[in-house]
Amino acid sequence: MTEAAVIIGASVLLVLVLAASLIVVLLRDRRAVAGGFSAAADANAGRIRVTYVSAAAVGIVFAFWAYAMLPTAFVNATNTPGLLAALGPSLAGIVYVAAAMLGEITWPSPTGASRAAYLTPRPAFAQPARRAFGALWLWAALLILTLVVFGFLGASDGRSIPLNTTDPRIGGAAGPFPGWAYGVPMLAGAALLFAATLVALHLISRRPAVPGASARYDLYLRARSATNLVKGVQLALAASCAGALFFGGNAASTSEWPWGAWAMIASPVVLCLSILALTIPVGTTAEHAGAPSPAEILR
Amino acid sequence: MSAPRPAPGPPPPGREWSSHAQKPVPVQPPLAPPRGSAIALDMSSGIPPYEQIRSQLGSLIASGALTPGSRLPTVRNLAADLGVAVGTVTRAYRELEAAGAVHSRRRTGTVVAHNARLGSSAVQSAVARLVAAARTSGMPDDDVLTLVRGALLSARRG
Repeated sequence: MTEAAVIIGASVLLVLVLAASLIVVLLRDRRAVAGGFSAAADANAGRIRVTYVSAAAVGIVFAFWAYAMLPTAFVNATNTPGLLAALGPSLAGIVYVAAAMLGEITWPSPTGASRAAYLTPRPAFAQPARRAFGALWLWAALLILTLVVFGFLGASDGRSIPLNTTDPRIGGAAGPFPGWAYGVPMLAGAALLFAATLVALHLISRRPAVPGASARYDLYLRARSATNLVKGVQLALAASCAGALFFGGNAASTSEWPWGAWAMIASPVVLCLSILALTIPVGTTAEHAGAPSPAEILR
Repeated sequence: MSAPRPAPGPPPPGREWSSHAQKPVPVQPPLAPPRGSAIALDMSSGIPPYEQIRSQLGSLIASGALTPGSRLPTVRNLAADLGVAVGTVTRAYRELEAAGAVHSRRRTGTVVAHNARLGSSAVQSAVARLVAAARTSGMPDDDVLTLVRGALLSARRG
């Protein structure tokens, strides 16, 4: 199988998975609206939808810009060629989280003469759906593992992988390879993204409760926001990991390492799984108990 | 869970002050508070918001609706939910702490103090029975208060 065929096949697979995921999410949204939720519930859920769709749009636009510009116009902007391109997914994730934070900060405060509040303490960080949080941890762990392993396998320049041979007369290296020169900044970028996510989860927990909503409905709205946030972040981490696997696998194949092809195949698989994770519903775990009944919303 | 004390202030449209009450008390709270331990604010009232928060929390603690050791929301969260300044809630919490009703710790936050409940358990259960009987008979809250005040005045004279 040629390299071009792998790339074309992976691209087609990605488009199909993306389309299927979007259909699932949109159909579920329509079912939810048709399921008897009140206008008040729709207004609050709609605000969350607008916030996170807008944040996702900002993040995706930045990702496309980064994909087009960073490997070309900014390829030599740093001492390590293409470093900004390697940081693209993490940067897009940070832009997404920053846009989401803006939406959370501007969440409307109670107004009017009559106001009420529960005396139930809230956790410091909003709780996302467990499976979405699990996906985030999975890609974070895989990214760290990939970059650390590649760092040790890479050549001393941190940008290439030496030829896989035991013959001392033959030498050479292939790149670009995500050794330490790329790996350390990518790990720092992922850590920054994770820290920004924690801040955003704290903001979701701290935002004002929806006036007149039951405590369970308020909890549901926070879980929904947190899950949306974490889904986007896990996609950014997975894209970062997929990029490292693809370029690492490509360079390793050139240097005749047998696992190179497997790393290249793993790259679209990671991306497909992270896109499928976008369809994780909010109410699959403990948050399900927080889902509102229409009677509660109208109470 | 017990309902919070009605927030003081002018009556909402269509409602009147009770003619029996010594102080103006709305017939119904201006905003139906959510179920569970909750407080309501009337921003149009002449009573400062910090005092409304302090008095309602004090009532919930004294009545046992907030049990000793219960953790209160953080100052920032309660201020955000009520749409008031952080300093407003801070002042209410500080006054409750000065009165010995709550205590604040860096790790645990603000929690209801032990022995903050008013009266013996016999008095508490008598009050609970009174409220239950009044609810069953459909008696308005202000009439119940009028009865209690009358009984207290009679006992003082007698």
